[in-house]
Amino acid sequence: MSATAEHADHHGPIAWPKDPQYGLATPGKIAMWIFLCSDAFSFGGLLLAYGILRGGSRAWPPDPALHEPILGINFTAALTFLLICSSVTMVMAHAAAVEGNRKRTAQFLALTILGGVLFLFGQYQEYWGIWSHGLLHEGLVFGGSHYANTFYVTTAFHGMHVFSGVLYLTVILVRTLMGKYDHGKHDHIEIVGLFWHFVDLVWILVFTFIYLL
Amino acid sequence: MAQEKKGKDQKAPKGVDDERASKSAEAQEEEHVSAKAATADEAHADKAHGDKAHSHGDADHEHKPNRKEYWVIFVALLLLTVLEVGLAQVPGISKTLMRLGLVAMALAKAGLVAMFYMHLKHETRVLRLTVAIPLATPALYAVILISEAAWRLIR
Repeated sequence: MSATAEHADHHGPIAWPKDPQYGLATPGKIAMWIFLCSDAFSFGGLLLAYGILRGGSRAWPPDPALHEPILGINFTAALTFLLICSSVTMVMAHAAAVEGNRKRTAQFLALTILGGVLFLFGQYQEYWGIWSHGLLHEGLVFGGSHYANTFYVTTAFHGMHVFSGVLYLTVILVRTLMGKYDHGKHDHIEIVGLFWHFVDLVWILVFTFIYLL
Repeated sequence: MAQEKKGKDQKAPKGVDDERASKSAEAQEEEHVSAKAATADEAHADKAHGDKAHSHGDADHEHKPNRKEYWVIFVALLLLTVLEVGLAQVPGISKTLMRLGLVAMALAKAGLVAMFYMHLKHETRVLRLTVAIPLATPALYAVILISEAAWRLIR
């Protein structure tokens, strides 16, 4: 009887025994961190390739004869702002989930998804152009130079992360609306948050290294 | 006993109703367990809760989200972004100085996101190191490999 009584104040998942090394971090959370480390290596590899190719070039863009466009920073700064905002809505969703407020959790998750979708539209505009010419039209062609290749591979790989993040968040939003995360079972919301903040974190680095430097 | 149960239900009417409404077998089973435990040994449960509230520092218990802190970090991230964009466009600035400043600010922003938004601040030291050490290695590679590439160029 006392074994069950220990969970009585929890209203939810069975409390994990406290691990001497990892405290109360759930296996899911630790697994997401390990995945994020491996994902960071993928991005690290791409950014390293970029750094090495750029460090080994006399000029950047390497071939002035190609007349490749210089990347615009003001528009991508706005995209950075958008992702930072979506990180804030993500932590607010988690805060609402911790407090057991299903409706607010769902609202903030929806805002986070909106931020991700707008970011993807922004990237579409940047590549192909919606209201103005995209980079492809302006002569930044994939395969054209190290400059074009490293730009497209890195930003597209990040864009794929935003896309999968939007799908992942949508699944979590649906499950939130189904009431799966009520009564303290909000671990999955923190874990999707880890993924989403990581996508934001990577963009902060990509924005600085690829666009600003 | 019955009165106790009633009292408990009134204290958290929403929670219990929601759980009853839930179709999940798992949730229902948990509800049985928690209701039974609550009535049978409420005093014990209260004691456990009390202990929890007074328990020790970070990572030992579920951390209450601090909204004010989240907004402070948001403003910091925003200011650093504006500073970065400004620094990248300062006319006539030394390239080395500009690059050092930009990389420092980008790493600061990444650190803020990881510590506060990804709650690394509240995790144990071991989990922090599990994450920080692998993430630091690409930076080491970057210094070695990029300087090597640059050295080949000027050789």
